[in-house]
Parts: sequence; structure tokens; C-alpha cells
Amino acid sequence: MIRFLKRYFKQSLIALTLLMSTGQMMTASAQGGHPGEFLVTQRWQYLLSSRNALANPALINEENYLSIKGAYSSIMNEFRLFEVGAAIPINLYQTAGVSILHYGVSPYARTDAQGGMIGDSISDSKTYVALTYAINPWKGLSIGANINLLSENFDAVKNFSAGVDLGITYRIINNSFLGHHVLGLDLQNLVMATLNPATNTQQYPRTLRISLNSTYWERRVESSLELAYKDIGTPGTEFLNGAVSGDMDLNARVGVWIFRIATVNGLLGWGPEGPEHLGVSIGANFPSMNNGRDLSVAYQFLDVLNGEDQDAPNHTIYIKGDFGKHREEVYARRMAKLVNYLPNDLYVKAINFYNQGNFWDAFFIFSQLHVEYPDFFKNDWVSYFIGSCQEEMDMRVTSEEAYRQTKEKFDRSAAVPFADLGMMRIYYRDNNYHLVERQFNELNKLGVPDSLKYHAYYIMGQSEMSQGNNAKAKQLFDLIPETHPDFVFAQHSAAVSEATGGNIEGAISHLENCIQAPVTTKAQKEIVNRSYVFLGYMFYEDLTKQEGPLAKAVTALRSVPKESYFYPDALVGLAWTALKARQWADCMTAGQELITIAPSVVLKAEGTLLVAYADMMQKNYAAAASLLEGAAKDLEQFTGPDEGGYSAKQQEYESSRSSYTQIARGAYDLGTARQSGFVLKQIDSLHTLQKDAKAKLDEFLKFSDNYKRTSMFAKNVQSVKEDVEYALAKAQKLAGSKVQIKENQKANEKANAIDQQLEDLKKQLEQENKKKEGQ
Amino acid sequence: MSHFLTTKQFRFSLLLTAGLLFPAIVQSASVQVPSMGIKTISEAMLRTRVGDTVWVEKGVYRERILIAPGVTLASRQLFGAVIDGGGRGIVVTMGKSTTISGLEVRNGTIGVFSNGSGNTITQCRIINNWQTGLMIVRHLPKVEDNVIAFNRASGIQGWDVRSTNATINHNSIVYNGNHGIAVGGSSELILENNVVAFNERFGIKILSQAERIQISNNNFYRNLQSPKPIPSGNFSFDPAFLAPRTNMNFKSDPARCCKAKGTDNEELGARLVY
Repeated sequence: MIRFLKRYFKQSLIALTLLMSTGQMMTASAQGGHPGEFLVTQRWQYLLSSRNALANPALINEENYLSIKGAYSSIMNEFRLFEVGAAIPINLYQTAGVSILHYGVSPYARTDAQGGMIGDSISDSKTYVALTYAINPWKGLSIGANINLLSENFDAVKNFSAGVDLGITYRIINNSFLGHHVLGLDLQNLVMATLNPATNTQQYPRTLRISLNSTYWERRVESSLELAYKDIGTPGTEFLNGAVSGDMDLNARVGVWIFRIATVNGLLGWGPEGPEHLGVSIGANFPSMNNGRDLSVAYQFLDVLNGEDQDAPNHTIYIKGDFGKHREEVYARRMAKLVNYLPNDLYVKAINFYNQGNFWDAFFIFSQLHVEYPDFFKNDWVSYFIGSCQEEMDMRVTSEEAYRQTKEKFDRSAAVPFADLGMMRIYYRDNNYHLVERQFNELNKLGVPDSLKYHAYYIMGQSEMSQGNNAKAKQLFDLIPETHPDFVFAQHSAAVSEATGGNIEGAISHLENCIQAPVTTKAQKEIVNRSYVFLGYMFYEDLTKQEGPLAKAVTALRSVPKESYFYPDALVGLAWTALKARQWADCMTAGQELITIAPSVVLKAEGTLLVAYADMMQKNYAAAASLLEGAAKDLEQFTGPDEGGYSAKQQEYESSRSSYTQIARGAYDLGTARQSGFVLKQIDSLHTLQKDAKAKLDEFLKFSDNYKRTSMFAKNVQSVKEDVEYALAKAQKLAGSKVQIKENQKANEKANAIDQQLEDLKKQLEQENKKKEGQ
Repeated sequence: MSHFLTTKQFRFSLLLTAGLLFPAIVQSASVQVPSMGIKTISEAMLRTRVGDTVWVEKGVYRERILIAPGVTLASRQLFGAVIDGGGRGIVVTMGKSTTISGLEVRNGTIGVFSNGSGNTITQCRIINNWQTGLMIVRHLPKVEDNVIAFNRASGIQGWDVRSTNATINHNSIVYNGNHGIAVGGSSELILENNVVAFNERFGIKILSQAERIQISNNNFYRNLQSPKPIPSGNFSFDPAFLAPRTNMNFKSDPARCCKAKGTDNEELGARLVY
């Protein structure tokens, strides 16, 4: 689309000389043809012409990523060209693109017809914008078009033009041995018109180009062949000698890739007068640095072989990068979205309920999904979550069944190890250690994520501990890495295991690991608090034989925050430690706080007992007795569980659990029924029953926990009761003795005073008797 | 091509496989292509019901096929039936619970597209497609003993692919123009016993969201070096194919190969008898 500026011929002679040196147009210029045929030849970017919209708009369909490229070309540092362009795949079959070029020569001196300098200088530059669209409508055929806008600025005269290029390509061969070949046909400037017809009567050259772009053996070898027939329909009057019109050029390129990183290309141009140019290019591609996409740089050198400007070689630098997503990935994403959104929405809703801890509602939505959308692509997880919701609601039997079903129906799903872990937890809670071990073996198989394996180690360790295999348990706990969420739990359990085996230093080491580990969840924080209490207990009992054990115990126990579940235990520990250290005031403070905050009668009584001890140590027996009397009354009224009571409660619990399983089965039946108004009502009714039954189960578990509460400082109800009664008796006795001593002292004093009086009277009588005898 | 299984042997193996997978098929009807009034596979598909099998004779079928739900499409002779997409479009689109077996699928934009549950792609050759060989969305079909090669983009492209009771097992995914296997979205799948070699880009590209992918006992050889290392438990050695370009024979040369076997103690890659 470069035109011949006949009327500026004399002034632009130097420019012509420079422009002619770019290769293909050499022949034309030598014959007085079109100057500045850069856009016609595109030789500056010959290296990338196999995918260039300017060479053939249909070729951009060969791009698979958002592709951005740039080129800079220079001839003798006088002529410069810049190009930037982008191709954007729209879908599997369509691509859009844009190219912007700016080129021109440095301002040069104006000359007369004889070449003499006139004085001022001339500027000459052009800016070209092409918008491209290509589509693959049928078989291997792609059709593309450029809409071109050209702005020319020559010697302060501006001209604007617009035009259209049309190109087609056809993928003729894709063969593993013969290579991949794309045949192209392009008509440049099919339509081109000036937008300033009054001032510009120039005609733009029309070029027909046939190309064959080929790659062989996974692009190890590349080649391009191009035959261009130029100036189609341009009148001879447009040429200097008035006769030349339509010449042909042949351009060829062959390149090889070395290790898919470096490339070397040879270029050859052939015109009517024989070889026109010879070139070489080197380049490198770094797809590994760009996530598998092209990221390449290249340099091209062209040497002109004939004509008057053979000494004006052309240097070009290229850069090209692919970005974004591959065409196939875009299509795959789009297809993944073309599904029924309802099951997706239900799934998300159910997951949200699950994460909020609303397992009842989550369960019914998962069940609905399971029944109404059997082809939902996440049905393996749906099946797993049905089991998990039931597990969270402590519906052990039905949960285990659901997990088992997940394993059977979706045997290769990633949900299977999660189901295995869920089953393992249920078996552990049911004290079914044989099945715990079976699940542990399942979770130790190849392909199970490490994170799940570590969970399994923890549960298995707990199971071993429950069976008294402390050494095995400790081995398993030690396998859990610090980064795993179960690390703190495992370390605490390992400490218990060590302490049980008499290795106190080892226990302390594990407790320190637990305390120092980074924690985020509430459960993790609580186990750390429990570790503090345990540590305090071991120091209190002086099991460590370390120096200053009581001070260390106090430090550990004071680390338990007030909001912790273990704070009352820490207070009990602090009070006992203070008592042992003869710090009566501290003991009383801790005991009094315990009385205030303790959640149970038993703990309150223990607090009272400690305060009473402190009082007694300060000889406040009466105050101590008074406190203990209150505690003793409370304990008397407290119907704490005895062995028989506990057994009865346990039987009641078993019965409740059986009923609860029936409720769980009912829930499952309702969940897997097609949802209707009637079913929804039944679900609501069942929820009330479920909550009541679950409350009963929880109540027993709490009761059992209190009954078995013998760990560390805290004592069970019987023990506290006995201690309070003993202390009360002692205090009362001591208080009673003190009163007697005072009374005796008073009597003695009185007797002494009487004796003294009697003595005085006796002395008086003796003196009077002597006086009488003397008289 | 002259060393294919005999028709009888191949038919037996297909029947056995189909019988194991879909017991109902044993009692189902068969449709022959070509046969009286049926010249194309598409015509045959119009006459099928759930559980039917369409048997395709040797030949090149220039059409694009939508496999009806529950139908099996099988070639009488291993790779004897060639479905040619003519350079554009999806050559084979699989419905729900469908099976393709023994076919060569080529020259489409995408060779095979599967998004339904319960699909099976076995002993197929998916080659020379202008983009992807096998595109999988959502449900992972059973992909076993296939050759997926010389496609201009990835051998397998998956998105939100979930492997619930199927795997990508014993395939030769080689010489593709982009990645051997590319998966993204919330994909969870299992890759085992495959040969993934000589692909122009990565052997496997996993986008960050797709974390639960089990890759074990595969041979990744001469793909583009990925910044993410291939997980341990996989191999890298020359599969020494006998004649990949000329005869599409991806059998390993026993004199030069192989250092490892699959989890089932069989040769890695497609277990085909040429």
C-alpha cells in the first residue's frame, strides 16, 4: 500500500535510495517502480510472516494464545521501522488482531532535479494501523480480512487512506511424517482509497501473494515459501519509465530449531533479475519461563545482492510473547460452564451450610442432589458429605454406611480416602480398634494424600494408647510433622504416653513442642492450654526433679487464658501450688476465683476446700469451718453419680443411641425421597426429635466426663467430698480447742488473782498477830 | 497396519470388555455400518437405543458423530474404522454412558469430546487433529489403551474433570503440539501407567486450582522441562517406539526398552497388539 509519489520525485530521491535498499522493492525501484514497498514485502518481519496478519490476515488463525509482538528494523541508521501487534483468539475458529506500524526516514536535505542542495529539509513518515479478523468456516479453510488505515506525512503534507486486504489459508496436510502445511492466498489492497481525493490522486499497488508455510517433526524444521505478484492493475504511467507493471518475487525461508530453544534461519529472495537478497537470522525461545507459552527474541540480517544499494544491509530485532490461555483451554472452560447450574448452586449452598456447622440442612441438600441429579459431576463428594454430615451429627451407624457407599460407588474418587478417614473416626469412637486398624491400613496405601495419612496416624495412635500400647502410639504420634493440624494433638498425646511410661523429661519435651507450635483453630488452642495444665501438674508434683518446680508450675498454669475450657483446672492447680509453696494469699485468691467461676458443684467445693486450707494455715479455723460447712452442704445436696448410677445412665445412653440411629435412618429416607411439601414438613418434625435425642446423648457424654474427671489437679466428687468432710472436722476441732484454752487461761488468771488476794490477806493477818503478841 | 489383531480376536476382546462394563449390552442389538440402508455412522446412530452397539467395518468415514446415550461404537478391526473430521469441528462427541473402541479419530478441530458420565474410550487412536486430541469436561471417562498423538494442541485437555470410578490408564500420549495432558478447574483425576513423551510443551500441565491429581507410574520423556517437577513414583526413559511416524506403531522396542512396568506389571503406555 505504498504509493509512488511522482510529484515529489526529485525531493525524495535520497529517501527512495534508502527505501529501495530493503530488498524486494529493489527490482521495482531499479526499474523506477513503487517506492517504500515495505508493507508490500514485509521483509523486515519475514521471520514471523507465517503468522502475520500483514502477510495474510487469515494466518492469525494459527495463533493459539493472546500473542503480542514487536519489531524494530533499521537500514543504515537512517530508515527506521517500528511495529507492534497483537492477535487474540476469540474461540476455536475465530481470531481478531491489530497491527500498528510507524516508519520513515530521518529528515533529509531538499535537492533540486540535479541533486543540488536547496537548503531546508524534508520529513517523511507513515503510520499504519490494521484491524484484522479471521475465521475458520469450513474444513481447513480460514478467511481473513484487514481493515487498513494509513497516515502519511511527506514534506509537511498529510494524507489519509483506508483500504481492505483479503486473505485465505487452507490447511492442506497434517501428517506425522510429511509435516504440517498451510497454503495461503492473499490480495493486498483489494480496496484502497485516499480520504483526501482533492489533494491526492495517487494509486496504491495491489499485490497477490501465494504462500506455503510448513513445519516438520513437531516444529523442529520450519519453512516458508512466498510468491508475490505485485502492482496488479497499476497503470504503467505510475512508473518512472512508464512501462513497468507487475513483477514477481520469490522469497524462501528455512529454519531449524535446536533443542527447541535456539533457532537458525536462512532467507533468500529471488526477483526477475535473479537473487535479490540473502539473509540469516538467529533466535531463541523460552517457553519454560512463560508457563509453556512462547517467549522469543530473534535477530535478522538481510544482505542485498544486487542493485545500487547493495551496501545497505537490513537489521531487524523481534520479540514475541504469548499470554493468557490457550484456545483449547478457553473452549474447555466454556464447555465446563455449559451445564445445568441448579445442582451447582445446590452444592454450593450445601457446602456453605456444612461450613457454618448446620449439618442438618446440609445433609438434606446433599441428599436432594444425590437423588435428583445422579449425573452431577461431584456426586462422589456429595455422597461423602452425606456421610460427613451424619458423622458430625453423631449418627454413627448411618454415617458409616454412607461412607462405605461412597467407597463402593466411586472407587477411584479423591473422596474415598476422606470416607476411609471418616470411618476410622467412627470406629475409634465406638472403641472398635480392630476396624480402626483396618482403616489405618487403607489410608496407608499409595495415592492417599499425606495430610490424610497423618490424620490416620493420630487416630491410630490414640487407638493404640487406649489399648495400652503406649510405645506404638508414641511412634505414630512422632510421624506427624509440625506443619500438620494434628501436630499439637499428637504432641500432647505423646506427652501423656511418655508420662504414663515414666519418661517425664520426654513428656515435658512433647508438651513444649505442643506449646510452641503455631496454632489457629480453637481446638488447637485448647489442647495447648491443656498442655500448660499438664506441665503445671508435673512441676507441682515435682516429677521432673528440676529446680524451682513450683515457680515453673505457676508460670505454666498462669499461661492458660481465662476464656479457656481448662482455666478452672489451671486455677485449681494454681491454688494447690500456692498452698504447697505456703503462699496463703495466692491460694485464697485462686480458690476464691474458682468458687466464682467453676461450672460444677464439685469444682466449687474444691475451691472452697483450698480457701479453707489457707484459712486454717493462718489459724482462721472458724472461718475455714464456716466455708467448709457450706461446701459440705452443697455436696450433700449434689446427687453425684456413683458406680450404680453411672451404669444405669450408660444403659439409658445405649438405648438413646439406638433411637437416634432410627432417627438417622428416618432422616436418610426423607433425604432420599423426592422433596415435596409433605416431606419438608416431616423433615421439620424429625429435626425436633433429632435435636432432643442428640441433647440426651450429649448430656450423657458430659455426665460421663464429669464422673471420670480424675485427671491432674481436679478431683472427682467422692474425693472432694471426703476431703471437705475431713477438713471441716479438723477445722471445727481446732476451732473448738482454741476457745477452751482461752477459758482455762482466764480461770487460771482468776485463780491466781484470788490466790494473790488470799496471800495478801494471810500476810496482813500474820502482821496483825505479831503486833498483838508484841503488845 | 498389516499386523493388526485378527478380526476375530479383536471382536472377542471388545465383546469381553463391553460385556464386563455393560452387562446389558449382551442382550442388546447390534447395528452394522455399512449395511442395508445405513451408509454412515450417523445414520446408524439414529437407529440405536440404549445398550446397542454399532459395529463399524474397515473404511474411512468422513463425518462428525454424536454418540447416542448408552451406545457403544466399535470398529470391527483395530483402527480399521477411521472417522475423519474433514479438518474442522469435533469429530466424535460422546453422550452419557457411551463407549468408543478400536477407532481412529482424526483431522478434526477436536478429536473426541466427552462430558457425560460413564463413558469409555478404549483402544482408540486419536491423531492429527488441529487442536486437541481428547477434550474432557466434568466426568472423566475411562481412558485406556489409546494412542493420542500428533494433535496440534494438547493430547488431552480437561477442565473440571472428576475421576470418580475411572482413570487415564495405559495410554500413549505423544508428539502433540502443546502439552501432553493439560488439566485445570477443580479437576481430580488419576493418571497411571501412561507414556507421555515428545510433546512440544509440558508432559502434564496442571493449573493451580487442580490440586488433587494422582500421577503415578507414568513415563514422562522428552517433553518441555516444566518448572513443576514430575511427582516421584513416575519414570523418565526412552520408550523406544518402533515406528511412530510411519506406521503409527507406538509399541516399545524390547531391545531398547523398558526400565519400568506399570502398577499391573504390564508395559507402560497403550497395550495394543499391532
